[in-house]
Amino acid sequence: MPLMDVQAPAVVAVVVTTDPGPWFEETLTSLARQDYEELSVLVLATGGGEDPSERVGRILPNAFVRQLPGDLGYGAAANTALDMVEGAAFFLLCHHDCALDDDVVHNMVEESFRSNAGVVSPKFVNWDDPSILLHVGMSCDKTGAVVDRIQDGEVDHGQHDAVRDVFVAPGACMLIRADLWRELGGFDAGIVAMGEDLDLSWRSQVAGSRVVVAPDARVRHREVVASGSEPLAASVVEGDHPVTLQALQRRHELRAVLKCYGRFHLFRVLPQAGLLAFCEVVVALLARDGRRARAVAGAWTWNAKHWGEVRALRAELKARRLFPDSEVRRLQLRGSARLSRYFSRLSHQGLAAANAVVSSRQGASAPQPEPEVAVLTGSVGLAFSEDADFDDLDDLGHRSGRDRFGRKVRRDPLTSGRSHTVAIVVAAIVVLLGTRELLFGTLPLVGQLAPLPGWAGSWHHFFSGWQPAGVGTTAPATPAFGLVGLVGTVLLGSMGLAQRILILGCIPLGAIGFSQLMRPLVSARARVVATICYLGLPLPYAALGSGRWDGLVAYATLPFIVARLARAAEVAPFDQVTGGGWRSTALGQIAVLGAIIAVATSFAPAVLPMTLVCAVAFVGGSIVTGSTDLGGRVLWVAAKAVGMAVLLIAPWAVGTLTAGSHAVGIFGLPISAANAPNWGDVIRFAVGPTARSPIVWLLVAASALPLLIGRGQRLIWAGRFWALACLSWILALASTRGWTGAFTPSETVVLVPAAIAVAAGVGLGIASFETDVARVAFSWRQVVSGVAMIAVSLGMLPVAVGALDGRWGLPANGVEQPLAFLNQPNAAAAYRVLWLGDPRALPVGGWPVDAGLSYALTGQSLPDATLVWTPAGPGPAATAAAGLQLALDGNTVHLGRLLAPLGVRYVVVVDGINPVGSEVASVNAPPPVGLQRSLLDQDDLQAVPGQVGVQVYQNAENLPVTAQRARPPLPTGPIWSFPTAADVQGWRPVLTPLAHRNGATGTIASGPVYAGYAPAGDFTLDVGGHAATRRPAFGWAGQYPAATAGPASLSFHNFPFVPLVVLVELAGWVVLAAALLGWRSRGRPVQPTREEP
Amino acid sequence: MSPAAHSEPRRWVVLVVVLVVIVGVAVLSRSTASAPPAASLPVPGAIVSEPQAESSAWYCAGQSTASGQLAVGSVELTNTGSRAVAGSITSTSDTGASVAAPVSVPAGGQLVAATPASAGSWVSQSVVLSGGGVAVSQLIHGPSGWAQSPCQSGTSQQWYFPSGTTAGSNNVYTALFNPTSTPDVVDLTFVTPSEVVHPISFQGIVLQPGQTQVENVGSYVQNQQAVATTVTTRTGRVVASETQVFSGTGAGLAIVPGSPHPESRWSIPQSREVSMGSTSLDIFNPGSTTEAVTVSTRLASGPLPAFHAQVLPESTWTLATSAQTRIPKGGASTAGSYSTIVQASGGDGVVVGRSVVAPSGSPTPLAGLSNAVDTSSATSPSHQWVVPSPGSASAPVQAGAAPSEIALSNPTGTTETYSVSVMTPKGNRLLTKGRLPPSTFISLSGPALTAAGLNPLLVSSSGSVAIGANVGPTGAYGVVTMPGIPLSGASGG
Repeated sequence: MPLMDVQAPAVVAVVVTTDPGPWFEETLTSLARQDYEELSVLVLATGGGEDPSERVGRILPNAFVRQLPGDLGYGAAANTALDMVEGAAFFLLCHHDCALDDDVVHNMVEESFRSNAGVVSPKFVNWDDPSILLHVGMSCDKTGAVVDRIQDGEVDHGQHDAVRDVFVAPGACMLIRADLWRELGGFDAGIVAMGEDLDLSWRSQVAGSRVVVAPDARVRHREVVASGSEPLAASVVEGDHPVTLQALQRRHELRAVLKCYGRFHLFRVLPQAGLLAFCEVVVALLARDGRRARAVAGAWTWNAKHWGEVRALRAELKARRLFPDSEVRRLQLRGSARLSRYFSRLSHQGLAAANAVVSSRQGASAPQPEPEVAVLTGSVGLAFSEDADFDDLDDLGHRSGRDRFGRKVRRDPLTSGRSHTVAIVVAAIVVLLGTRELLFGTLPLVGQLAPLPGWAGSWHHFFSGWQPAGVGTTAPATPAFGLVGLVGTVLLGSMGLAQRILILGCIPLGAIGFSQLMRPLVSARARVVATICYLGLPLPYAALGSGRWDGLVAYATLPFIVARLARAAEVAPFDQVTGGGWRSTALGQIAVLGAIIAVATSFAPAVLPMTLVCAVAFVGGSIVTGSTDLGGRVLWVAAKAVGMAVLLIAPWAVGTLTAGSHAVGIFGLPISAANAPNWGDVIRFAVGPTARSPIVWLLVAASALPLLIGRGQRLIWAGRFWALACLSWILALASTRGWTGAFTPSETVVLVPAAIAVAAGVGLGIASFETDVARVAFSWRQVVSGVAMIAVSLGMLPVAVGALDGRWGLPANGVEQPLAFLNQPNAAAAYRVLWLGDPRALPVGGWPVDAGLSYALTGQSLPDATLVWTPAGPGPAATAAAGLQLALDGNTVHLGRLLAPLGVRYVVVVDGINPVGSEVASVNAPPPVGLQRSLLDQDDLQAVPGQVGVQVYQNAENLPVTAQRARPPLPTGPIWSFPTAADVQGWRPVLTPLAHRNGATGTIASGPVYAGYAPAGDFTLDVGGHAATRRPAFGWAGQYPAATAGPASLSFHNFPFVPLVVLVELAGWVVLAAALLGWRSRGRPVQPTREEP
Repeated sequence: MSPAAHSEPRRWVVLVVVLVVIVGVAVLSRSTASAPPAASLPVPGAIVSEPQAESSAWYCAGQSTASGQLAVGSVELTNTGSRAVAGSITSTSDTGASVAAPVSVPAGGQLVAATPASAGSWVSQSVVLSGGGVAVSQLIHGPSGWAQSPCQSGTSQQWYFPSGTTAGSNNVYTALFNPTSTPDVVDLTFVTPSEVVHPISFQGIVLQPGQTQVENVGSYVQNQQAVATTVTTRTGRVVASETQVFSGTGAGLAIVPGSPHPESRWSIPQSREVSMGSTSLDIFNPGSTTEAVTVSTRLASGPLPAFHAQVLPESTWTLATSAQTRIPKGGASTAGSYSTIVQASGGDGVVVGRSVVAPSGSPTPLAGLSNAVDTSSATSPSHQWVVPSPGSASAPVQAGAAPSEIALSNPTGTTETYSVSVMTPKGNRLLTKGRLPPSTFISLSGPALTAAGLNPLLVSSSGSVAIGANVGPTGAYGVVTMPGIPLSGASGG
């Protein structure tokens, strides 16, 4: 016999409304049609301008309508019913957008008695499509993160139609015992929206009541607030900034945690919640999801501000506590719901879905389609899902390996998101394994791995009007120092970390860029394999093992550049890639591409011409394949982008161009053809100390697969990429053999397009197999494809093996160890060191003497990165090359004397990249054969014994950089000239090395003072407050013939032209960055939208 | 991916183009890779720097002091340039005594500078000039005879001497000189017909900067008919030369500069066998692999059958040419003159020298040693060579000493043109010119050469030419020879 036939307890339905929409009548009608006779309806109107009395009266003439003053939130408004209603046994708390089935109240009251539940929740379904479930009760984890028991869009097949305890009864419609509600004091009035149901349900359980879901009671819900279609009243939300629902949800979840846990559990859980929140903020920032980051961080600050209020509520709840936390927590999820969900999405759907960045990036003004996110579970509701994962999951979401009919599932490899993730993780582990010894400690002074200057030093170098390279120059420094300074500043001056990020980060960045390049071209599986191939080519590790930072930068940036180039040129299928805002316009795309090229060029100047090479190769490839959709557009786009890049780095570019014929030297210095890689080395990227096995040929050969089996666009793109590869290989061979004249970029840069092409060829091969071969009759194409895939797998083995040493062949020690005695940054006297050797072996930038022999001048300390990127022109330092050439030709035996005006005390010949290692000749980069003989034949150079890996010669005719003698001054000829024997005799050092701020200082006697800094006209010798008269010396240096005795300082003075133009350059970057990041959207009110909680 | 909006791609065109590019570049790179880099070309032991050089230096070792008497010497400076060059000669004895004297060589002129006096038995000279274009040679004389040879224009880590004998009362002295600013540690190795000798006393010889030291080889490698010597530095670079003293009935004196590297091709522009005399070639293989050596001789009338031998590592093949019946005895006439080319394959190369002993009763010196002309010396960057005379008119090495014949041989496969001029302070005067077919040689003698007197000769050619001057009067052709010293730049003279 039904219970309700005996005695029906009174139920008051409390409906809170604010300017309801047209659906309101349906809500009211559903209440009117309830089969529960003891139901009264109280409509509470809050906020808004509309009085709903008339609308209510038409449908529920017996209902009570109360217009509440002010603009209360839902909870606070509902709480007023406590004072208005007496004698009710239950309250049915309802949103105004819920439509109840006719028997909802009946079933819920019945279930309340049957289960002895204080709170009963119905089953919520979609308003428009009642077959779609919204909620069947909810749960939460220890940190208050609310989790639904069902999946988004899950179809109601009765799979959840069992009464069960839940932790949270959704607030849209709940039945609560009146006595319980009174005891709890109603909703938390401090919660204006989002989270009031969690709080009430949690407190109910603390007070000893069960919360159950009664699925027989079905309620349709529009979710007008949660969906964002009905904005929150502005007055109920605190703060100056627009507050998203996500922010409200996060702050109120934390408020519930702070209120409802006892002291012990709060002490235990709160640090965990804090740690999770911190990690979430970091991930959100990395994913550029600013709203999420603000929401998470804001929750903590908001609750900190309201701590006094929370503490009072805690005390009230403590007084009513019947259940301990251990009992309450039985229904909470274990672990962190958000963390589990993040990793689940990461493994199944990739990084973008995991970060849920799509919605947060777009902004309210540019609604975008929902991201294509596959559902996660194999529940019955997904029986008709199209998701490829579905058959592999059981009802609990576990992977069974069998379909729903019990048959064993045969899956193509790498077709699921999880397998993609596993493959990428394995590749990442190999890269990390190979790099493990470079992650900590100090990088050796090899190639371009010189330590970075401090963050302030980097900024100073960027803005400085004078560089110490050579004997000094006023050419602007590369913008790379601005970027280095920026990174160093962000990292609070941790330049070692900055160096690692900027160098080692190039490898994953390159993989990301390559993945983006492949996205429009191939399937997800092909993209993953191709990206792993890009990581599995020896090139980046060759660059790293040789200390070539420029090669790594090219590896990281050229995939982005190629992708952007294709997109800006609207080459199919890149023309279908859409984006929002100014960036997607033609000018915006050129600007983005130009910015990327500019950044890359700052570190690796050869990227600039390689961009044009890529464009030319694409046109060539299109011609060969007979494609007509490219035309010269890509060339024009590349030219414009390069022009934009030059504009963005204009001060440095202009300074470089003024070097005349030397300008081309910034792209790279010539190496000796005798030590150049051969054609086979070039094609298989064996240009470094690691992964030189011929097995890599297999990978290269496999990339030709799309040329054999591809069709349509795949064949066209394969042709383009192979044209790119051929051009890149030929250019690498030509530049290392000296066939390209003075244009000799590093092979580690020139080969990057070939690496892109080979990896892309592999991806296109897989795409061709999937599209053009897999569904046709068995033929040689399948056989070739299978062989190619095996070749791809084997072709990456050398890199995997190369990872074992942990440093990709990079020597453990560079020249800093044998040359430790040179490191005298605080030396009393200033002198210089002349570095000689193969340009690949020198730990600094320099200028060429001949193919395979470069030179550089540094001060009396081991070089840092400020000397890695030297100006294009050597200036007066060219006299060192002239003297050296005389020595090499056997036309002098007094090289020491010829170098004396430059202040050279030591000549250092670097014997190779890893002189004591076992690299093959083409990598070891030894100095020219005759160099040692020529230097030893010099009367005034004395070999310093005992150095391993370098040859050191001390100059017996050294003239300090700043010196004084009692003899007559030097001749004052205006032309660069070599000194006579008498010119270099009798000098003694007088001033300290030139410091950034104080110049060179010291005390001098009366007599001629020599200063070997250029340009001499920009230096002033101040003695006792008076500037000494300057005369030229050796045509470029300065001398002060009549200097008087006293304290003196030599300092650089000229009009700050360079700092000013660099400031303008910086301003240009800021403006461009603001434009690209969409600064116009700031300040526009952002309406609360539904976001991933 | 959207369907293609174009015609079907030309698959075979793409494949063909890619294959052609890869194979074509492979062929191209292989063909160009065979050219050795310029920096690895061997540098001859003596080469005249360019006239516009900032400075240059020459090193002469192996002379004895006046008190030593074995091989008292002088230094001869020949200026091939058009301006006077000043410098200094620093003479350093084996006792460490050092004396410097200024020197100035007039344009196109020749100057014989006596060795500055210094205490000790042996002496080396360092000639440092404030310019280039000057060739330096040394002249020695003693009780056994006299000799002439180029000095060395550079240092090296190895020096090789293919010839030498300590048989009977003959003796060999190896002179070491460190003209650099870096200490040297030197090892000497001797190869005799019976063994390779590493005398403990000649291992780890330390030479301080500027130090000279002469080792008496005969005291450790006794009574050996043929002694080849290798000088190797553990650190640093040295200058080394060998002084051979022939005593007894076949008295003679020779000073031989070391060869800094083995080579695969050597030339002897002209030889001549005489009755009762003997001539032999010493072909020394200092390497670690066996060399297949071919000795090709050619008379003016045509080539003779070649000699072949496998020369084992660290061994010397002595080919007694005077004992070969296929080579005619020419006597004093030029009819029996022949040129020789030695070619080696299989390793780094060999070092070749020649020993000549004149019939007894001939004018002294009766015996002498000389080096064959190596390829690097035959390949002058400027295609010019200078042949210093044996002293000046005011200071001849020996009364009446003068070049009696100068021979040019063409070791290449192409015809070369040549000209021989005599250098005078007033300018160069042409003596002769002509064409030199491949593998042939010519000899200039007689009045045309006599007219040159004791002026240096300048030889120009269109390509590589091996040059050797026979300096008389001696007991036989080849006892004293002076090779042409290559010029690295165009002569201003």
